[in-house]
Amino acid sequence: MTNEALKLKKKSSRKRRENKRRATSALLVLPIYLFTIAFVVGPLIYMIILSFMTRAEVWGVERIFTLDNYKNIFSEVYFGTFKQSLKLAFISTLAVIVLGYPYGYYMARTSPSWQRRLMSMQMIPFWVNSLIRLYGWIIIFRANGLLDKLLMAIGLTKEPLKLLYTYPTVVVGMVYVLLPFMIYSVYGSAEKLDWSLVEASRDLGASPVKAFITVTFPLTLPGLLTGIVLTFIPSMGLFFIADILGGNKVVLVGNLIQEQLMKVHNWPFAAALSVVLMILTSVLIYIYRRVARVEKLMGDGANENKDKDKEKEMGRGV
Amino acid sequence: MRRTRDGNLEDIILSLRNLKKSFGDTQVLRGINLDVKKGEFVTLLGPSGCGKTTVLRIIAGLLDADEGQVILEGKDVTEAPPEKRNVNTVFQSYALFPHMNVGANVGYALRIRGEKKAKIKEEVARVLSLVQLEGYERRMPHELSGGQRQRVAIARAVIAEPKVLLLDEPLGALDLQLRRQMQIELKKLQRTLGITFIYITHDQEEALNMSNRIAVMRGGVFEQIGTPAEVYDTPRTSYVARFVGEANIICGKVVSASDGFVTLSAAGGVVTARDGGIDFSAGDDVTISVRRENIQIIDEPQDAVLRATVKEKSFVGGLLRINLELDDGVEIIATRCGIDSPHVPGDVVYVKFSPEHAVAVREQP
Repeated sequence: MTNEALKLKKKSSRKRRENKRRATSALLVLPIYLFTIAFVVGPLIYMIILSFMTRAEVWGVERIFTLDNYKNIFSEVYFGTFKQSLKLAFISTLAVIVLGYPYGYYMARTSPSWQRRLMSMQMIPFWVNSLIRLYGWIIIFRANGLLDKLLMAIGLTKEPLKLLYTYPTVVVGMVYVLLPFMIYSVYGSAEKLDWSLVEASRDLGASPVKAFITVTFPLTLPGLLTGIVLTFIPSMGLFFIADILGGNKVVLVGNLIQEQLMKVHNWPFAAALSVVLMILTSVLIYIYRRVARVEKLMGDGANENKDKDKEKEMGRGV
Repeated sequence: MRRTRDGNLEDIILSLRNLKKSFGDTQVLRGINLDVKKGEFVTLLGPSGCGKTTVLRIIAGLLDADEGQVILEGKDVTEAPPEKRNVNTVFQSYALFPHMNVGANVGYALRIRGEKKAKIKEEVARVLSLVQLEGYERRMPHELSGGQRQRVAIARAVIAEPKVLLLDEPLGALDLQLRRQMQIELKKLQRTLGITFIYITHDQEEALNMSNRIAVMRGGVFEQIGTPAEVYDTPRTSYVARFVGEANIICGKVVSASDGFVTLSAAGGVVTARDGGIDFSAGDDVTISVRRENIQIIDEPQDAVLRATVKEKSFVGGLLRINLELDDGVEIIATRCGIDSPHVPGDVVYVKFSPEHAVAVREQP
């Protein structure tokens, strides 16, 4: 065999080994791909296709292409539901920010023992299913329920307020379920905040309020944004809260989809509603990522500073 | 021998009166007194954990003292919040705002004060050129090297023209070469700006190189406050002698004392040293300090020498270092130029130093 031929053989054997290795790793990740295709991508495509089909007279779907499902969404009744959902999501998120930001921020700044206490106040209720906890709110809010009895006992009201099945009660439920997500997002950001930055701002002449506005708030904004996404997006779809606490009076997109699917059996329309909701949340996530990418870049700078500090301290054996 | 205040009272810009501070059960500051004159460069020198950063934070208003007063330009600012004091800090970690570019960082103090945009821009450019960072306004802190961040931190702290600039080990994170260069630049900057600097370091070379006065700190008190020459040549305590001059400490009993000199018997010999302003009478315990470079090694016994055994030789930092053990077991170190000496470990030699080069110090626990 000539030298050339030997080289060629060597080369091809190396290539073969390389191919074999690739094939093995492909085989290893295959189950994940199969799972994703079967249970995520597949149903998604099915749902999109379904949304362009026609509802059959009695039961099921007919394979006739139509845009009516989407047109239907923009009819006054259904479009109103979308608007109402967005409004409720907006109000709930606002309330969650107002309550959750200070809580999460304080939790990060306080002493470790208080930190534990504040954390467990959020964690312990989580051990009980949120559906069951929501039924607890019924006991509180229903006519002649705990709240009514309390208010009448101290003489603030004379007759039951009939709070259950009202809009504010749904907001309370939303806030109750979603608050921990905000608290932990803000906590995560505030905990990483290098306190020497706030001291620097005070040192340079900023009052506590100005220091908060110019330093603390911008640096905890990534956590706040994460909290907003984690609150706003679910709050459009959490139909069971509106169901349990809102009766039939508050109808959200989530309720509409459930109703169309389970009661009316208009699958194509339910699919079209889902597609629109999905697009809406995708847009929100896209906006969040655009904003958060910039913020994250800056956040990294802060951490770098902090790490260096730690390194130095350890180096000097303090 | 407390250093008396010279100059007028108006010249004193900052006074610390009997500052005390405890964290839990640990007393960190145990009565800190210091007068700083206008335009002075004062260094607080001490090992980590001696409380020097605590002093700085109390001056800045970031920490409240348990007792004592901080007087700035004749006004008691002990209770004033940090933003109400005309004092700025260069933090050890620089603490640059990561979400602002260099220009916004440097201009922060003026922006908070509500200055006009054009003026801020002008001032930022001026201060950045002072620290040799012209045109860096738009860079983000994370894009800068350690040395550049340090300059930005200094620029940010001096832009508002504070009465006193506090620097907390600002060169600690830089490598040796850059540190030496920055020492010179900082000194130059201080002269240009005419601002009073209070500088913290644990590096005695840095302190000796840059300061007008050094306050050597240990365990929450100042052991000695004086010019670099005073602290180096006439340390008041054995601790100062060791920490600042890396000096040898020899203990003995006074034989006689007169005319500013004290003669003592120590380690089987009799030597003489300056009395360092302490009154001695025969029989007293005495501790003297002799710096390494002032120790001579001779082979034959003479008057006023101490016998010693060579223990070890090493070549460190361009100097030959000879470790010796005196007859009483105390180890001393001598340094000399050159790479080697004729002595080998185990040799019995004699140690000599001129009385001028030795000084009696107080032994403090």
